[in-house]
Amino acid sequence: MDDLKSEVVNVAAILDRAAIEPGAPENLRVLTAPDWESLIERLRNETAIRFVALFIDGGRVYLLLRCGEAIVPVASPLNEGTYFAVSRVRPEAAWYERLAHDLSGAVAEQANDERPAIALGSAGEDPAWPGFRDTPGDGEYQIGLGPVGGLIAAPYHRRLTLDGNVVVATEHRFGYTHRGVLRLIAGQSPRAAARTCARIDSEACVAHAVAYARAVEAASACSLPPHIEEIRGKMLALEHCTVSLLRLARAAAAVGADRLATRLITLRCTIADTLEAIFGHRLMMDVVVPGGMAVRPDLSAWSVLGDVLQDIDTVTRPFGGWSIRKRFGSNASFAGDWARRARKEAKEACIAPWHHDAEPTVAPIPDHDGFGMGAAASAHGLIHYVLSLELGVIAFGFIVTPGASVAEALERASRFMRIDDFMLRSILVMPPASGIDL
Amino acid sequence: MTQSTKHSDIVQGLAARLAAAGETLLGRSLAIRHVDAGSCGGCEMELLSATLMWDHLGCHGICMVEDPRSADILLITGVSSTGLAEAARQCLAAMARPRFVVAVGDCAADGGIFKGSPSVLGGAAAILPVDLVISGCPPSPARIISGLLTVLDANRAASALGSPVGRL
Repeated sequence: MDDLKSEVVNVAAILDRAAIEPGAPENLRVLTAPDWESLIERLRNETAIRFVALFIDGGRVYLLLRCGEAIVPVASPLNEGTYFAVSRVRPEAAWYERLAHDLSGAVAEQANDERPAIALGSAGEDPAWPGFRDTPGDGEYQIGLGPVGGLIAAPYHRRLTLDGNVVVATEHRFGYTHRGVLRLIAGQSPRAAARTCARIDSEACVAHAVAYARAVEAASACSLPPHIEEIRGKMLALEHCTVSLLRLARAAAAVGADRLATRLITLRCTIADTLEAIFGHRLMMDVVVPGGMAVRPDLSAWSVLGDVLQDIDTVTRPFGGWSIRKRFGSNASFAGDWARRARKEAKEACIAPWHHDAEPTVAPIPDHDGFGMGAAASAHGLIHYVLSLELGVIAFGFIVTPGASVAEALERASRFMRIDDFMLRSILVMPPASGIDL
Repeated sequence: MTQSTKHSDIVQGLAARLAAAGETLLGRSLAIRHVDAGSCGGCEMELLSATLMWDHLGCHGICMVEDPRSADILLITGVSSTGLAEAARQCLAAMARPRFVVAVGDCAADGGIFKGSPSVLGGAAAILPVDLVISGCPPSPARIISGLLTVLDANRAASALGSPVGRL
């Protein structure tokens, strides 16, 4: 215990001697290269501080650490395009180091995984292609699925190593839907970039928009009109509901419960239609903008929404029943989780938020340079935005999505799972690739 | 399917194209192979809804298939990202004629908000010959179904024109 305390003190001491650059909600701590290396070494046994993300911009490596409730941003200059790898002590940093290399060319020294993350080489030319780690052992064989596969294509490549019908290992290859989002938003005004951020991942349109708006508002010290955060909270809950219903419908169809799938998807469509009446868009895209809301919601239609949301209780009830649990097998608890979440979020969203017609829905964004961070919860996990504003435009931005870590968790869980169970688990938990590829 | 264009005009245009190509007409039903060429997933969400809801695609004789060789329509969603352009081309090349390419959503129409990114080639038309565009961001399931029914209407119209090779 004493050792743990001394590690915390050491990490705190290193962070205390960093140069401070103002930011919100936390200041940016800029370390020298030797201090960066010391910090990484001390993180090895430090369980109280968790890794969140890593990225490169403008000749610096940035690291986000979770200390208690706070996310602390740390930066250090690159040394001739290299930096001391975080993945040596925190394996979960490997994805971010690979992504950073693909996006910026910066090299993580002594990294434990140097495969590309989203850069796609050419078959026959690039030694990194396809870059899968495992070769089959005796009696094992590999099959590749995607990027075009299934009835409605999920654009990633999945390499399964199988022994009979049992999964021995799973690897994913992403990058097919890379659209250069980070490069697109750099140089845009905060309002213009909001449209791009809302279209990164359809299952987290609102979560992306809210996290982005909060980051801009933090960086620019913008004050929101009253009740806006309450409406945003309701929108996040509604997004959880619709995503839960969609996931459950896909899974129900996959196990042959077609009637249940139809009931779930019909309810999802009814909710989407009602959301269109309230917010002007089925997925609530382009509603949340930095400074507030671009659209004044028609709260008179919220009572209809409340009635529709009550049906979630009835429609998701079969997921607690024996018949459906039997069909889902080892995945029944995952389906049950989605059903419970849908009911919980529906309860939260069914009461209309308070908003007076005379109140403004959006505040001007102050002309203020700064560094800011914002977060919002999506159905798959927390989304973080980190960005810097300079002269009224976005100087740089980075987006932390839960997709890659969910995919890694799925890869780990797949070992010794039957192939049917694995595919069903994937339907239930795998987020859209667009949120990973950026 | 742009709102400014009349449904009948689109049907006649597609029918004329089918007849002019001198190809065997489509059957009574349509088989669709979907390719996500760089979408956020919104169009897939609505497409999935269109395949599962009460008044679903199957009621109109439209089904999704995995094998491109048995597909009549290549349905493209999303921008044409550099990583998926070749996959989309190969998918079309594997399809037997007659075949249609339908672009669903604003991103597939012209690249949408991602137009100009170095990782994006543009809309579906940048990589494939597109026959029909169903616009919207994303289009609702009803709009997707109505757009796809246009292809069946065109097939009937081409049949009435007297296509040189086949009959329904």
